[in-house]
Amino acid sequence: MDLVPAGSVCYRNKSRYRHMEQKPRKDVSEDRAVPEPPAAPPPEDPAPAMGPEDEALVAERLRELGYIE
Amino acid sequence: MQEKPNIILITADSLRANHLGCYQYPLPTSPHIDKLACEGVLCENMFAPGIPTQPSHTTIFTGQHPVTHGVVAHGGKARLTRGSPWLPEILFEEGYTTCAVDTLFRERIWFGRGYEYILDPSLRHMFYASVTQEELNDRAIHWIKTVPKGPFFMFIHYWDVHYPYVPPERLRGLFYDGTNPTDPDNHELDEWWHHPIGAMARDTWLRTSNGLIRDPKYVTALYDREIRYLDEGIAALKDTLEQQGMAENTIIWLLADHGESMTDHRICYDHYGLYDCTVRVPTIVHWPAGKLRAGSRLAPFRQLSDVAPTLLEATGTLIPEEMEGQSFLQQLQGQEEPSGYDRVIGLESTWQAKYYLRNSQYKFIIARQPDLLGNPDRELYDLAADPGEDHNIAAEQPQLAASMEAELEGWLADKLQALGKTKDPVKEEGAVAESIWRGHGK
Repeated sequence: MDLVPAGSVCYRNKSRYRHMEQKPRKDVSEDRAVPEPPAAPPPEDPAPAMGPEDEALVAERLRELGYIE
Repeated sequence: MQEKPNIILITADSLRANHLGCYQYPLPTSPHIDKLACEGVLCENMFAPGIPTQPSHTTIFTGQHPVTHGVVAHGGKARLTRGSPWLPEILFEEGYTTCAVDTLFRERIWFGRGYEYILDPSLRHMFYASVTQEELNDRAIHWIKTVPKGPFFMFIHYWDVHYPYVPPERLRGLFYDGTNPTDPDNHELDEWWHHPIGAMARDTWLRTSNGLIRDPKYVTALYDREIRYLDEGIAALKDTLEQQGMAENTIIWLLADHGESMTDHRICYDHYGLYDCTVRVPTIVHWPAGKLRAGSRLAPFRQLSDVAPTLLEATGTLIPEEMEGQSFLQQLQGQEEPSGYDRVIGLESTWQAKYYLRNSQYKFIIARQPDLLGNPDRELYDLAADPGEDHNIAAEQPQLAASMEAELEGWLADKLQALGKTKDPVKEEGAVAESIWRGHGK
């Protein structure tokens, strides 16, 4: 199984792990523009929110399940 | 410069590795984390030997496998024993000023061990995991600027990526290319509403003025926006260190306790199931003064139990014999050839009672009791041919499945014997949350 992403450099060594990259590589995101959110949010995007009542309900449900003592 | 490094250990709860740019995610969720990875070292194959949050964090701080420390479930009977090694406690005894910006001690008391300072802005919320990176950073940054007079250890536990996914409104519009998140004719999440976590989401954070969110692609976009928001927080923290002249000799270790299933394997927006989306976790180590092999990526298998021993070696502290993990500091520094484990064995005992054994090609999963989704009690995946773990080949390759099962059971038997234990902790605890839920008559 090749665990190393395409385009990476493998490092020769005596270990059993043949596919390991040990040389600095440029990250894929470096060449990519990072978009900002649109200035005017699309109306179809409903933007969920949590009020204190919602938070209390979540906490209560998780307490019932034993997550919280 | 002080001799011992500062340490900022960051866990981003539920952060799935392959939703980060530096782990080949195609969307730009994480530009600052990606930069951190380019300046530090990234581990390609770090695995959680126990999920979810409580077992995994207990492993991170003890350097022990969950079978050893015994904390295998949320809501389980096991409690961490006082004599267990505990990273913050050891560092405190070594002269570190220790600080947790965290809420975990509110779930289980041992998570407060060894901290001189605990900062908990979640007291301002009805649900502690609603605390945001900005609220945590406000306290953390003020503390970094004003308190330490020598080396410090800070643990920051961000909850943004954990459900409920409620990113800031200013990120609206990012990462979603669908047309109607609340389409009443979309029934893709209907099965999830019958799970208590799905029902909770339906009754709270997925309700909007436009109606109930029903498009899983939109829920995934919310998750990705949370990563983007977290990414801003990581950048703010790093900027602070640079402004304070602390960046050079501070280890920033970013990891996750577990990943997250989107809708993979019919597990929706949660972190159970022993598939790679949940047990393979991101790990980035950044330490300019530590002579790390900047920009490199380590491919060998590591486990979260290796984190504490590695940090102790970085501080010149003796690693307690009770810690089972192995330091890989010299590999991070490029002084040793990369190496790791031939296999990882892990478990869960919260929503399912299962073990996994993963090697470089295959994963075998065995259930101690029937699971809530009706999966077979033995699963085998060829990760080379099927990295998504979609095709169970246990029936097609019975000899391989039997061999991996024998290997797993042999390891467990040996482990229990060495620990002087007689009971399989996963069998003993069972699927704790599921059991509680069923007990409520669901």
